[in-house]
Amino acid sequence: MIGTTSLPSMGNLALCRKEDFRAFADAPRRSQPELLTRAELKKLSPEARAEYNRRRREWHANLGPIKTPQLSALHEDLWDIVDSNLQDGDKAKGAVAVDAFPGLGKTTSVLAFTREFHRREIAEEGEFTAQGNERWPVCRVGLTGNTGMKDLNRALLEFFGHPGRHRGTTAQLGQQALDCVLSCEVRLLVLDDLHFLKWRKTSGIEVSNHLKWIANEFPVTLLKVGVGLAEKGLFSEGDTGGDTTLAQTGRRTTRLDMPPFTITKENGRREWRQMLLALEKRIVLADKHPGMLADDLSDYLFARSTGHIGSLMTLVNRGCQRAIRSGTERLDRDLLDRVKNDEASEAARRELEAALGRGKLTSRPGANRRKAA
Amino acid sequence: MALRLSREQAAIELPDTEEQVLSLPSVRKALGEETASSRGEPEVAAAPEMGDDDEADLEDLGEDDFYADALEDA
Repeated sequence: MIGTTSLPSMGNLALCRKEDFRAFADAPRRSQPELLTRAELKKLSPEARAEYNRRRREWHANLGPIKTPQLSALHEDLWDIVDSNLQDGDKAKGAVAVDAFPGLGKTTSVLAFTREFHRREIAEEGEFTAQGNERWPVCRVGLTGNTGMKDLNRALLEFFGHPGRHRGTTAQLGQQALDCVLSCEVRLLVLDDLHFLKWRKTSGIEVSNHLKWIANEFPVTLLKVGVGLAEKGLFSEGDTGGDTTLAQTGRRTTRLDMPPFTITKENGRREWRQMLLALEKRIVLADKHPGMLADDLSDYLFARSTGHIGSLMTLVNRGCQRAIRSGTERLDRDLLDRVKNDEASEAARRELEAALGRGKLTSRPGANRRKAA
Repeated sequence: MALRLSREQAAIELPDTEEQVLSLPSVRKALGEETASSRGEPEVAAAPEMGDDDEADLEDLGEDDFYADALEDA
């Protein structure tokens, strides 16, 4: 395989490997393609138009992350915790768990934080440690199904590209992982999709103990991301059945949430509109107009997404792709009705549309309740 | 006959009551209603109002002004 550039493509990154993570963290912001009118579009040669559409496809597929109130609140909490974890190595550091339903932007928000943290630490401390090792302020591991201790240790070594990751006992791999973390002065260890662990079963207890060992021995802030972690016992205080093993993990873990947008209060409706304005501003379609999303499609988009940012971004992205491909060059209800969204959103859509359609609810703030198209 | 039955079934399944409208957990969460016991009446939207701005004023707004409240990139 012959590469023509040393920089990996942003569309072909695996953030569970350090070089790819750095490419993600150091990548400059994408520049928004210029907005052309229909007349200007017509004047483009076929090649120029194909190139313009390709740039728009990539742009719409990578909208965000947007500084939503939820993301801002999460980042503030994470900065508080990470910056307060400057205890000496003999003291255990507090861990964090971002525990929320799917589609609310957990991983996106955490990755945005890790990028800022990586940049800050490299800017302040330099790319190499005092011992001359590469500095990796963040180590991120995505767990897979049925992850056990050995798998977790191997995944940690995989991030660093450690040559010994394919052989060794669980303990040996763990020691090698600790060596990497110490050598590279990792400060933030992110375990994504932690719900893949089988909590409260044999491997769950083992991994829980393993997490405790990491928290004790590794001089890092442990950041766990997952769905339903509370139900799986991560924050348990232990019970009479003997699951006190989990208690210490619970005591040392601060749980952070990522709520969806809601429209029952004026403040929530205002935040929803600000979110739609942010998206609308970034859309590059020839026939878009002010209010296309924020006024005309506010209720519709809330019903289609249930206020879940992941579902909203998916719908808008797919809608923009279709608008470009079909030449519609705008988003409206007719076009979006033909765009499929995730199953959970589709199931909730009919119920919300009924409430919104009856005028029992609205997603628009009082000052913006113009008649929607 | 089967077609007719399916049409009738579809009509029956339409959410007719407020209870049905708020039945899915994701819908309750989206509306800020965590549990059935804590569920209150949804806030009834006031009639559309223009506030101090009228249509002409809004149309005069430049694009920058229109997107002044937009959220920023993270």
